[in-house]
Amino acid sequence: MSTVEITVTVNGSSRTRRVPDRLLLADFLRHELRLTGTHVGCGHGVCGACTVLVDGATMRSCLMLAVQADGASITTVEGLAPPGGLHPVQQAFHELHALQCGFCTPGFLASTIELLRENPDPSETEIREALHGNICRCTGYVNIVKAVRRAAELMRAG
Amino acid sequence: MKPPPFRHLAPRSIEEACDMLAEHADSVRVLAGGQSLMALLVMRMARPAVLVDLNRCAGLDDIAVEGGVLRLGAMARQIAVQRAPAVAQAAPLLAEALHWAGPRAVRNRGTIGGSIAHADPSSEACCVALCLDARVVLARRGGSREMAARDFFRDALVTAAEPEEMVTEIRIPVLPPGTRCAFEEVGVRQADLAMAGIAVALTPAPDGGIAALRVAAIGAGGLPLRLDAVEGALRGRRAEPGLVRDAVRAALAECEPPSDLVASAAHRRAVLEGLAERAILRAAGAERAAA
Repeated sequence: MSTVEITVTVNGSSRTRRVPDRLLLADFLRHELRLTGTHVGCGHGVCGACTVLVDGATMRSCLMLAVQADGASITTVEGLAPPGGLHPVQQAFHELHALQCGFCTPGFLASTIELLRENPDPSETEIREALHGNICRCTGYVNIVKAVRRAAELMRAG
Repeated sequence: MKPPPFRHLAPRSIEEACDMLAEHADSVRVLAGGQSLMALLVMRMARPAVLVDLNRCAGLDDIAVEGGVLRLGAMARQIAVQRAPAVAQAAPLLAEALHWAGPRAVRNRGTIGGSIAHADPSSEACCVALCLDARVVLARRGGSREMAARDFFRDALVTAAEPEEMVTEIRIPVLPPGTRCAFEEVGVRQADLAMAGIAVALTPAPDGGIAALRVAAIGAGGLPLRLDAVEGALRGRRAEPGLVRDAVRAALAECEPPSDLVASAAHRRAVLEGLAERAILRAAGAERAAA
């Protein structure tokens, strides 16, 4: 099997591994780096659970190859919080009970961070539009939308 | 590992990519943004021996207007196309339609060339390419050719591209001054796969009538189609609701929309009638008539 050596910056640390050509980025994060916070739901780009930030932009890690991430900087859910605390988006999801089973949460957090970076004060419609690629099968969308609005407040307050 | 085994090749130039395609033409796929092909691979519905990955290939992501033509490099990401000032100026219909092309994470990675080359029947990009008389540039070792989108799309997921060819550019003639566009779509959920969609580019005449009209539909057949009969019936006329409705109904009566789990043919036709009427009247600057 053909393998390639890649170096990826994940949550600020440089990680070098030799990986098979066909290894998915999601499986690289989970199995090679043991960063199991990135969840694989559908595995073919529909549910959004595996969404991570690649060079700051949300991407489905189940639809990328690990070799394609060579040289990239990736942020997973494990890299969001400052030591001993929570990222404002995590804080808001916690306060407003915006998760039930939590399986979809890492993807929602990534999509929310991208949204709030570009639009610090989104309307409910804008939030729902920005999150339509993330599916919550507990269907806790009402609290998720509230939490995004709360996160926007927290982040605007700095 | 979910995808079948393949060799991953990452060319740095179009020439290098074309050489790789020629060498492995018996079992090769071009990998662009991967938002469709990666899903086909993990479901093992595609099993190429070699993937030629264009993500590190130089010279494929320019977006520019030159000589009256909007030139979109095949690897321009959908989000970049959607936001490019050149697209807003030359072909705002494409920016409007790409809003529906999927969630943000998909548009961050998905490319305009990948959408065209994949030729999905529900593709907004393919529908707009047909509507705006786009041309598709194909490169192969030692040469390139260009063809009308109308000739490039052959069937659902089938195009005129040969295995050793790759799409390098989409060319869209800049819309005539004063042309107004509208894109309307219905899916199970917003930005989910389109069940029905309509793209319209309408150039008004000085007297307020329709000087030129182009209409393309998603869901009217097995692949996006131009609704030539609507265009013919309304050219030179005024966009009056009754007239538009009759033209749309007559054209769609001749189409064979697919029936599937999402919608029956009759439902698709009914939805398309409403979308087409709404889109044409919106492009004409007229209010939609009360139902």
